[in-house]
Amino acid sequence: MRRVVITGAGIVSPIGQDLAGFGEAVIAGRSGLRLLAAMPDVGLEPLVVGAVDFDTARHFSRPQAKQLDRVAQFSLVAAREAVTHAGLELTESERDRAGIYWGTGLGGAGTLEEGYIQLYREKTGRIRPLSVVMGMNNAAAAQISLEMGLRGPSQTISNACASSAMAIGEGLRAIRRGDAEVVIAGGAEALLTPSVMRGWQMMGTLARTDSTDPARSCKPFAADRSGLVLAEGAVALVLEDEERARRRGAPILAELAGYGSSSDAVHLSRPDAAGQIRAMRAALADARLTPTEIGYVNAHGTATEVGDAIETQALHGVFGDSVPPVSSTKAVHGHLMGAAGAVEFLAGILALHLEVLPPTAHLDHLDPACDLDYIAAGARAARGLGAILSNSFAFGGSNAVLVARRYA
Amino acid sequence: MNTLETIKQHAAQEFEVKNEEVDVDAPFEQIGIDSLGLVEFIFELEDKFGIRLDASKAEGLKTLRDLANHIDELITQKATCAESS
Repeated sequence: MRRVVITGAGIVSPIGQDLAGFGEAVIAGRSGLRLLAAMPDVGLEPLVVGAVDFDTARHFSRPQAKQLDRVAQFSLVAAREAVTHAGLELTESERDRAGIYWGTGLGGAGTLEEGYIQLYREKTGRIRPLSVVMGMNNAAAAQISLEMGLRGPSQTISNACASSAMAIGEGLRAIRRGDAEVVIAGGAEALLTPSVMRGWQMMGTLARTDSTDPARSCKPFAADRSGLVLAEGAVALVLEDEERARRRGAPILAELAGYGSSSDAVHLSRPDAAGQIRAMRAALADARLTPTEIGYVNAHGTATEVGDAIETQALHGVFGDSVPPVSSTKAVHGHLMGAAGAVEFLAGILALHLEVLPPTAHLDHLDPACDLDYIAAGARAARGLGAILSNSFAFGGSNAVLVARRYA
Repeated sequence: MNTLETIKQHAAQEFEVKNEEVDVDAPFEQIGIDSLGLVEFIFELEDKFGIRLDASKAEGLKTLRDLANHIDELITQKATCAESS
């Protein structure tokens, strides 16, 4: 079977708009979350978010930017960095075997919302003609394909919080099958629009604002956790057939070793340990690794009461009494929804590459129902770390798990 | 400012070129306005001039000058309608 390696990465996130910045912040456990003021005219109460201070003009000309929803802008910036990082140059014939596998939950949410504002609030009926091609879920993948000349397979996966993990997993399978030799894989989300944020507020799953410091509001596995923090951003990885990467002397961050997915078929929003266990076991089997070979788990760890406890149970189910160190980096970057799986897998890849485990920040009071080693006291050296596992569990009961292995 | 000059200025601003570099007699593609861009450009001009272009008529327009002439016709029609009503 072909092996697949990761040769480049790029990121736009609330804690860094390039790989170096993200790596430094995630290891330092430095939060990028902040309080967003209320919007009384639409009923939005104040909430903590992981917003990106994005300078569109730095990356795009005015005509370009006008054709790109925020989600596509994030996507292109992340993909550009990943390709540069990988030193990827494709010949004309190679472009036919270069694909794009992208995940997003809500695609061009901002574009759609602007259309609704014109239709229902302003009552102009004047919706921008480009709304269709900017708002569609595959717009970001299409823009990456266009800019980079990727003419191989293209897939956009929208499976809520598991979207980008699944996109990376499906990209892995595409290379193994021989459908592509190179794949840009990852995902993006830009859903901090009033209607989306208000919907989440009404659902009652968002974190309360920490009274001392809003940046500390997301507290995975803590007794005083109160929910998740919505965030935005994008991550792109360059996946390559190992032989191709070696032939061209590419820098290899890690091997993308395994992918597993499952459905709970239990409840629309409540997670299920059995489904999570099936996905983790499938990913380990795919990677041909035993649980004892995993040295770090980047948890889904959304900081909801139910979610963190069930994931802890599921980890026991897979690893027994020997669960490796686990952290949820959502404490600092928030929940990037469709891009979450890619961001957190990237944190795991960096752990492998730098041999240091990122911490779970803001975990001062551990919940007794969460009885694992969550790396609460800050980043930890991990010399010789051999393999990592990253969990993504979505509303709808879709689970996706990725495994990466040190490349040797 | 006449219609053609207004459109020219708008094109220069939206497509980030110098005003004097906008050739009002060149085909749209040649000045960097593709089919999608044209639809959006016309949408903006409709708001600017307070008129509505018929999509089938817009298809026959090839240059900024064609567009300006057509918009002038629509403005005249609108004024005539307003006077007669």
